[in-house]
Amino acid sequence: MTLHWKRNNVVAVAAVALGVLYLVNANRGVAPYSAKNIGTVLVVGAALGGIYAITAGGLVMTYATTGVFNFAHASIGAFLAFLYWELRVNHGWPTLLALVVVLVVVAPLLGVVLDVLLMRRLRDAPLVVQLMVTVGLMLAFMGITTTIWKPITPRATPAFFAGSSGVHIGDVIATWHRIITVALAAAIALVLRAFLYRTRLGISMRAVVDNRNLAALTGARPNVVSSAAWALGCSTAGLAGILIAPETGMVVDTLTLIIVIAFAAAAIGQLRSIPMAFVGGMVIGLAKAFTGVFLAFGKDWNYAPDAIPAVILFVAVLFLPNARLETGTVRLTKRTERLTTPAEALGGAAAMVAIVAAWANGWIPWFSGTHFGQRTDIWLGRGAGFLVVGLIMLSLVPLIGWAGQVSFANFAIAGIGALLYSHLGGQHGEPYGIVLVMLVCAPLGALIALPALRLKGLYLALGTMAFAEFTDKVIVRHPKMLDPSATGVLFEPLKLFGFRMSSDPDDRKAFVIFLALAFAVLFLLLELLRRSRWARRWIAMSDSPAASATIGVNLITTKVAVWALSGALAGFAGCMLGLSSGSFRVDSFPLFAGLPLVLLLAVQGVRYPVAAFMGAVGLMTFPALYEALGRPSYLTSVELIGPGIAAIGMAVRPEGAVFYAGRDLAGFLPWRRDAREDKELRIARARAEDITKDEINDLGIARPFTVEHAAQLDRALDIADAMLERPGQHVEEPTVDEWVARDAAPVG
Amino acid sequence: MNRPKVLVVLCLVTALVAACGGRGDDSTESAGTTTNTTAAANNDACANEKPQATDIGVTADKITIEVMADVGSSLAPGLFQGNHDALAAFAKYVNANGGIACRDLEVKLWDTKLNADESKNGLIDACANALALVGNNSLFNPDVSPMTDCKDKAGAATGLPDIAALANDINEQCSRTTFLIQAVAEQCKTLSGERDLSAFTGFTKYLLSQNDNDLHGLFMVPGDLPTTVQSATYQIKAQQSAGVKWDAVLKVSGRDEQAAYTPRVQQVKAANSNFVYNGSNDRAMVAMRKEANAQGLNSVKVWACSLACYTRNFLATGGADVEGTYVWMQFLPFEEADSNKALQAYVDAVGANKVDSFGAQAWQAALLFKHVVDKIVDSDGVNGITRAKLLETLKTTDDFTADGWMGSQPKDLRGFSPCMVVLQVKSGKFVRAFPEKKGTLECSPQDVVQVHLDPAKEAEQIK
Repeated sequence: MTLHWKRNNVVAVAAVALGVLYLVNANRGVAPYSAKNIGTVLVVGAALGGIYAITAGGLVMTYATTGVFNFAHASIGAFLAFLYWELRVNHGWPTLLALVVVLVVVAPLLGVVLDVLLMRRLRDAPLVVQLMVTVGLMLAFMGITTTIWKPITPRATPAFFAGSSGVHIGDVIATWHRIITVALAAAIALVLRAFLYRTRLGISMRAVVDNRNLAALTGARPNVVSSAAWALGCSTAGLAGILIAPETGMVVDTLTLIIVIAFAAAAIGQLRSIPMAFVGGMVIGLAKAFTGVFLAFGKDWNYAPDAIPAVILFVAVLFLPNARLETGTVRLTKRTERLTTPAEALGGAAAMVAIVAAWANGWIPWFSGTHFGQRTDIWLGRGAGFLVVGLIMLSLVPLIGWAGQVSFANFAIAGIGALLYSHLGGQHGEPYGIVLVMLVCAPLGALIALPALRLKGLYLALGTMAFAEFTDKVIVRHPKMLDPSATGVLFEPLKLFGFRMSSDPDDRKAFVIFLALAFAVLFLLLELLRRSRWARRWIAMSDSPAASATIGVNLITTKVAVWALSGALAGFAGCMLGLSSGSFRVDSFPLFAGLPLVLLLAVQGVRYPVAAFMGAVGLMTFPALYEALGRPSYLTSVELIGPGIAAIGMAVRPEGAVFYAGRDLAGFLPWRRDAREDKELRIARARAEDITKDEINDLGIARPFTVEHAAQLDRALDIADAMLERPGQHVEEPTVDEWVARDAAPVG
Repeated sequence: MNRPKVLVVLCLVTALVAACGGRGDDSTESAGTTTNTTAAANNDACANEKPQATDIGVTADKITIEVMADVGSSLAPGLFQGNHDALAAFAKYVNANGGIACRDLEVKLWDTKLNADESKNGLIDACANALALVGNNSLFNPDVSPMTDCKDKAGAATGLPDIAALANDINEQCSRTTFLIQAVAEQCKTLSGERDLSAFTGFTKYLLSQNDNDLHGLFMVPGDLPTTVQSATYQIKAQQSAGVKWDAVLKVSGRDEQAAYTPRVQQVKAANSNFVYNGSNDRAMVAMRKEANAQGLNSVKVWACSLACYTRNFLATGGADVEGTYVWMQFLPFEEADSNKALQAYVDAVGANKVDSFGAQAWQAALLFKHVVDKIVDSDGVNGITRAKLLETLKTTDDFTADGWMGSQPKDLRGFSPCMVVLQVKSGKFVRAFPEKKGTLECSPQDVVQVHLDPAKEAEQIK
C-alpha cells in the first residue's frame, strides 16, 4: 500500500515537473541563463522567500500548537509592526527596547488575551466556525490598525542596518536586513522544530492539540499550554510583520495579504512541518524571481506570474495525503433538528417577496426621508446589489452548511458566471443565457470538487482558496473573458415577461422584485431539498463519511452533486451580479472579496437558507446608518472593525444568529409547542450544569476530586441515568418537572 | 468592492495622473483678479434682480452642487478625502465672500467608495438634487448614462454638467457633459483601436536640455491593470519622440516588495542607463530608489516622476533615498502659496497640513464652476442659471486660469495644457527647478504632441 502510494506520488511529481518544464520552455523570455542572471534570481528569490517563509513559519507553528488555522496571523503581524513603528519611529525609542516591548511584552499578552477570550471556545467548533472567527479577527485587526494609524499619514519603518552596504553576491548586493530576515526565518524553523519536538512545553502543545483530555491526564495543563502557544504565535507574527514592513511599506492591506502566499508555503510543509514551510517560502520566492527574470508570458496570460502562489498552493494541496475515513468516533456536527415544513417554507418564501416588494414600493419606513409609497432609485440599486450577494450566499448553504464542504470559491464562480453571461446572452439581455451559464457553472463546481473527493476540512478550504485566487489572477484577466479594451456596460437589461431588469434607474424596482422572487423560489427549492434523500446524504456525509459509506452512500457522487448544485446556483447569482453591476474590471473578483460572504453567512447561520436573506438585509445596515446619522467619523471606525467583531462573536454563538433567533422566537408561534418545551428543557439542563467543562477537565489534576465533584460531573455530563441503564433496557427521558426537581434535590 | 485594491487603486490614479496634464495658457504670470471683478458685478446683479428657483439645484437662496469621490472605502480609507475637504471648504469660502449668483453655495458630498454601483448612485442623486457635479474624483465610473440622460426641471434631457477634478474612467472622460480640470490624453473620437492621443513632452524636453540631449533608461509602467498599462503607452511613445531612448520598459506593481525591484535595478545597471521615469505611483518610485541605493546603482543621473510623486508620503517614506527626484506638474505648487491668491485661498481654507494635489484640482474645478456661473450672471442675470446654460457656457470657456494658479485651457475644456513647472527634491523638500521665477509656469504649445497608436496593442508588448 505504502509502495503504491509512493509510486503514485512519484508519477505525480514527474507530471508536475514536466508541466513546469513545458511552461518554462513555452514562455521563455530573452534573458540568457547566465551566471549573473542566475545569481540575481537566487538572491532576489531568497530575499522574497525569507519574507514568505517567516510568515509561513509562524502560521504553521500556530496551527501545530493550537489546532486553529489562523487567517489573522499576518494582520496581527501588521498591527504589531505598526505598534513597533509607533514606538521606534514616532516616539524615538531605541530599536532594541521597541522590539522587546512589542515582541516580548505586547505580543505574548495579546496572544494570551486572544486565547482566553476567544480561541478556547473554538476548540470543538466546526471548521467553518474556526476559520470564520479567524477571518473576523483578521478584519478586526485590519480595522483597528487602520483606525489607530490613519492611512493618510505617511509612515516608514527603517530596515535594520539600512546604512551599511550589505554583502556582494555576484553582481547583486544582499542587504543586511534581508540576510537577517532569511536567517531568522531559517532559525525560527529549526528552533521551533526543536522546541516542539524536544521540549516538554512543545510536546505538551502538540499533545494538547491532538487530545486535550489525554494530555491533561498526563500532567499537561491544557489552558496554560494553549495560552503559551498563542503567545508564541503572536510573537512570531509580530517579528514577521516588523521584518516585512520595510520591504512592503507600512500598508495594512499589503502586510495582511502576504498571508495568501504564506498559505502556499505552509501547504508545502503540509501545515505541520515548520522547516518544510521555510522550504516552501523559499520555493515560492525563487519561483517568483525566476519568472520575473527569465519568463515572458504571452499577451493572454500577462498576469499569470501573480498566480504562482495560488498554483503552488493548489499543487501542494493535491499532494497532501488522502483524507482518511475516520472510524471509531462519530462527531455530530449538527444537532438533530426539526425540519421546516413545506407549508412553512412556502410561507417564508412568500414573506420574503412581500417584505422586499413592500420595501421596494416604499411602504416600509426608511431612513432616506422619502414619502410613503416612494423608494429612491439609489436604495433600489443597493437593494438589488445586496440581494445578489444574498444569492451567492444561498449557493453556499447546501455546500458548507449541509455537506460540510468548506468553499471559498463561490464568489469566483459567480464572477466567472457573470463574465460568461456577458458573452452568452447577457450582452443582448437574453434570459436563455442564464440557463447556459448555470449549465457551465455546474460542471465547473464539480471540477473544483475533484480535490474534494480525496480531501476534506482545511485542506479542501485551501484548495478552493487557490481556485479563487487563480480565477482572480488568470481566468477573469484573460482577454477572451474580459476584454481589457472594453468600456462601459457589458450587459443589456434582462427582458422577461414584458419587464426590463437592470441597474438602470427605470428598471431597478422590477429588478429588485425579480431578484426577490428568484431568491424566494430558490429558497423554497432548497428547503424542500433539505427534506429529501440527497440532503440527508450530504448531512450524513458531513457527520461521518465512514458511517455514510458503510450504509451504502456513494461519497463520490454525493460530493460531486452538491458541488455541481452549488456551482449552478453561484452561476445564476453571477448572472444577476452582471445585471446589477453592469460592468466589470479585471480585478472585480478578488479572493478577499469572497471571504466576507462566507463570513456573513456563517454569522447568520450557515445551515439555513433564510440566513442568506438575513445576510443580505444585514448588508443594508451601514449604508442606512450613514444616511441616518450623516457620516460621523466614529461610524467609519465601527464599519472597519464591526464586521470582524461580529464574526468573532461566532466563538460564543457558533450556530449563527438565525439559529438562536429561531430557537428563542419559535416558541411564540402557536403551532410550535415543541419549541416551547425544548426551551424549558434547556433552561432546566442549564441549571443542572453548574460547573464548566474546563473545570471538569481540571478535576483530579488541578483540583481535588471529591464525591461531590463526581456528582457534579455526572450531572454536567448528563450520565447519571445512563449509568443505571442496562443494555436493551429503555430509560425514559426525564420530564421538565423531573429535571427541575432533581436539580433542587441535595447532592448524594 | 472589494477587497486587495488599495495599491491597484493608487496605481490607477497614478497612471491617469501621469497620463494627464493640467490647463494652461501662454501667460507665465499669475493673474488673480477675476474673482474680485466678477464679484463686484454680481453684487450689482443682486440689487437688480430677485433670485428665483431656476432649475434643479437652484433655489431662491441657494445653489446646490455635488462632489463624488472615493473616500470611505474600507480598502483605502480617505483616498480622495482631499476632494471632499476642498469642496466643503470652498462652499464656506464662497459664502463668506458674498456667495454665488446672489445665493449661498451648498455642497453635497457623495462617497463613491471605489465602487461603480455607488458612482452610478451618485450620478442619480446629483441628477435629482444638484445643479452640477463639481470636483469629482471617482475611479470607477463606467456607466454615466444617469448623467448624460439627466432631465432638468423642465423635463428635458439636458444632461448633468460635470466639472471633474479628475475623470478617471474613459466613459466619464468622454461624456458630452463632462469638462475637465485635469486634461486627459483621449480625444474621444473613438474609444478603442488605433487613434490619436495627446501627450505632453515639455518635461522630457527640459530634462533632455539639461543632459546634453542624452537620456536613455527605464520607464516604469503601472502594471496592476490593463488600463493602467495602456495609459502609459502614449507617454512612452511621446517621450521617445522627444528624444529619450528606452533601454527597458517594465511593468511594476504597487504590491511589489522592494526586493522585486532588484532585477529592474540590475537591468538599469546592465544598460548603464542614466534615466528612470516612473509612470506608476509614489510607492513604486520610493521602492525603486531605495533598491537602487541598496544595490549601489550610480549610473542614473535623472530620476523623474509625474504629479503622482508630489506627495507628503513620497518625501516622508523616501527620505534621503529620493533626493534629487524631478517631479513635474501643471499648476503652481503649494510651496508657493503666497505667490497666488487662488492657491493661497485654497491652502488657507483647507489647512496647510491637509492640502494635496487631488484637493487642489477639486478647488480649481470649483473655481471654474464659479467662473462660469459668474459669466452667466453677467450675461443673463441671476436667474439665468440653468444646467443648459451652464453646459453651453462651459463649452465656450477658454479663458479660465484659476486666477493664475494654472494655465488657461483650449476651447471646450478638453485639450492638453502646454504649461508646466518642474520641481526637484532637495534636502527633503520640493524645490522649484524650472522655470526659475516663483509663481510662474512655463508654457509652450509645441510641447503638446499627438501620438497615433492603439494602446491595447502596444500594452501587449510590455512585459
